[in-house]
Amino acid sequence: MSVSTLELPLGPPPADPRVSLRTSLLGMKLALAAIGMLFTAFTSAYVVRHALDPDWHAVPMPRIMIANTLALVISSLSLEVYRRHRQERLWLTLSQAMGVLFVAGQVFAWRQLQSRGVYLSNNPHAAFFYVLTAAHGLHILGGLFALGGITVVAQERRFRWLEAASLYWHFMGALWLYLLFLLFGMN
Amino acid sequence: MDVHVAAHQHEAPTGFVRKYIFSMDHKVIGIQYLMLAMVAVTVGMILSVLMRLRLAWPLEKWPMLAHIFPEGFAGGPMTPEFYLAMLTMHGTIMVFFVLTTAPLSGFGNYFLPIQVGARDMAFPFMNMMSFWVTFVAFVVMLMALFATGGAPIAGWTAYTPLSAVGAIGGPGMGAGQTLWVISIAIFCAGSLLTALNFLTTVLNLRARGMSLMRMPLTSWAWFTTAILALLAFPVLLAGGVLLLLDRVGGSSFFIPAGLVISDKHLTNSGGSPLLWQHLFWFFGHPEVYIAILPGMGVTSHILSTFSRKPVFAYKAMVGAIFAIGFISYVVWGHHMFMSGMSPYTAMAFSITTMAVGVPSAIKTFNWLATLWKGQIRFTCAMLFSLGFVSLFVSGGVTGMLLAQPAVDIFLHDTYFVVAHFHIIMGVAAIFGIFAGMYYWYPKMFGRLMHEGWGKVHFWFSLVGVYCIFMPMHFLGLAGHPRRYAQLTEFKYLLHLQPLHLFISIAAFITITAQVIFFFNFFWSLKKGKPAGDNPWESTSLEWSIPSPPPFDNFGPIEPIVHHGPYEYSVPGAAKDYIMQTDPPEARP
Ligand code: HEM
Ligand SMILES: [Cu+2]
Repeated sequence: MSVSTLELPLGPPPADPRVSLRTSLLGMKLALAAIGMLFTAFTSAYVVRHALDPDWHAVPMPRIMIANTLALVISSLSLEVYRRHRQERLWLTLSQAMGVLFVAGQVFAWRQLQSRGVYLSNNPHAAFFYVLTAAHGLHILGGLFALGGITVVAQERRFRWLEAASLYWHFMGALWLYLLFLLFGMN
Repeated sequence: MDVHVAAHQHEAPTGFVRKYIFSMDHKVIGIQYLMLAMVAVTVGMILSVLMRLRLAWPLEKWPMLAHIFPEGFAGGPMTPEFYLAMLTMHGTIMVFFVLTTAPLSGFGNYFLPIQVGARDMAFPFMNMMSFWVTFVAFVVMLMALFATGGAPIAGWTAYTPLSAVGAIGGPGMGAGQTLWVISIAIFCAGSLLTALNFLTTVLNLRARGMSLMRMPLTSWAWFTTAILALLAFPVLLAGGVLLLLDRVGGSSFFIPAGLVISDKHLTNSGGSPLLWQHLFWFFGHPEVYIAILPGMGVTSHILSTFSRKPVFAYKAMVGAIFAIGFISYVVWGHHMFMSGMSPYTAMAFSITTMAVGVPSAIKTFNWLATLWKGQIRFTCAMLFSLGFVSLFVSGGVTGMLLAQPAVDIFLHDTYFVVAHFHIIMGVAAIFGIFAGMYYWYPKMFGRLMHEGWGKVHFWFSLVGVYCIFMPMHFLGLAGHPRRYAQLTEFKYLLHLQPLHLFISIAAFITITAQVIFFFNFFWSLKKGKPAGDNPWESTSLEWSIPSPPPFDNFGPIEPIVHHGPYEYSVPGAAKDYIMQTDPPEARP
């Protein structure tokens, strides 16, 4: 594909939508690389801390997190359906609702652990649980903001916004599965 | 090849606030970063003067200073705690708010988009955020300086468990240290936004004809530095979050069991102080290259311009930048030889560390070969670049010594290390900044800096920094530990006191000489000689547009690149330089 700049009239060239899309996606991928590094660092801290501690007591996973996981997976899938067809607003709404449900469920899981007397300070495994899920949760809140933006932003930005937001949201889903495995899959 | 146009169309803002304060123009943001660095470097220098006073005259009471800092003196000479607080803030401010902001975010923001032919960064709003986030980080860091209980005393590396235990760790380890951690976390966020913008801009917004292998080495350096920043700062952020939780949340990520501090038995258990060191240095070593790589880029660019010769072995230079960047991720253990690591691990880190010497030597030899038989023009920018080469060699050689675990066991935590990293990171990077400033000032402000005063500034600085930091090698070899306010009780160090005096006097002279620079900077804004578009007869894109450049850099013209970045003294060409945007026929 090639549009010769020589043929363009004087004045700044119109923003080329293909370039804008590529730029948004590249920016998002780089952001995800940085986020990946953040969680890699947390992981290495987790592994080291786990290996060193003689009295490491694993906290069992709060049951509700199974439901939360399901909600996040459904959210990702329905967003993908929406991204491909884009006509049915319902899929987007479903995705957003499931995302909100996930956050609510996570808050519930936290409260459940606290009611069992599991705090940041008295159990290293729980400390990592809180840190990792909170860090992920903050990113999820950012993602909900992005999903909300899809139908709000100006028409010409909508497409690349959707593409970038989907990439982000799927990454957050995958990251969640990874965190579950890290926290509970290896005990 | 696809068209590369700025991904967005924007009009020049009109109001003062949108134009100069919350500006999304990469050029304004670049200058904001440079201003921030100037303020920070002034604060950092004042702190170093306080330290040098203490070291040169250990028993002086300095009534006037005692008046300003009553707790810091407590009726006698400066307290050791106050000294440590100054040391911590000096290091932190210099490394983060000067050596990271000026070379990368300052000059990079201003010149990277222009050099690759873009009208702005890929994400201007994010770019604006990055500056203001960094600004907030700086304000929080200053708050740490004035926190109740004093400024933190754990050093710029904030080693745990001292930095993790809270107020019982000593003065400044309460609110001061907490603010320190918060500031650093905010700083990480700002730097990540910068890195993201740099990478996307280079990869997606280059002008037509600006293939990667036609990018000036400055742009390559900023690009590589941005990769380092993108992957290193998240690690520091993770460490900072865990450290903050240890301090305020009662967790024990870094605090071991059975720790007794000031007769108090801590209830924490199972944490690992070394974990912090690993996280910190995994960030920390790339960070030192974040500080120096832009200086290498600037030096390559300027040596070529002012010897009127192409950079020797351009491709090798690009490869060397990348090699240095890559290797910098696998050497962090050389800061931890004394941590009780297994000798095999130490050997592995030693070998990787020495491997950095290979690309470093490639760069050095290529710089010398670039100069060889050139028609050298000794401008201020050129002098500072030559100074950079000298300092880089002097500091790199001692790095090789420190990379030997057996040698490092003796030299670690002595003044030898202080000498090493000040020469190579502190001063070499600062020389890179000065070189860039003398070189790009005319582009940024439309007027030249005064060359005569610049040369006076250069000679004072070059001789001065060698006088300050060379003797520190001897202090270190004699076993003088770093991070102590006073060592007059140690007989084996007493005879070195005159050396401290010498260093301090050299430091005061050198620091005073920087006034020449500041004066020159502000004087030239109004009174400097008008620069014209291309005062240095350089080739890269920024010199093809007016000084200072218009809002969208290139006005109505879409830049098209036909030449490599360093086509100097091409046989048969009309002039001794061919600009990158000159028509293809310019090269016969
Ligand atoms: C030839 C390349 C280099 C080698 C082999 C090298 C080696 C080392 C080693 C082994 C240490 C640890 C010494 C100790 O703590 O006992 C060290 C410290 C240090 N180096 Fe280098 N280095 C090199 C280049 C650089 C560069 C380019 C920079 C910065 C721009 C730098 C900045 C530092 C700093 C800041 C420290 C001390 C950190 C601290 O403890 O506060 N080094 N270097
Ligand atoms: Cu290092």
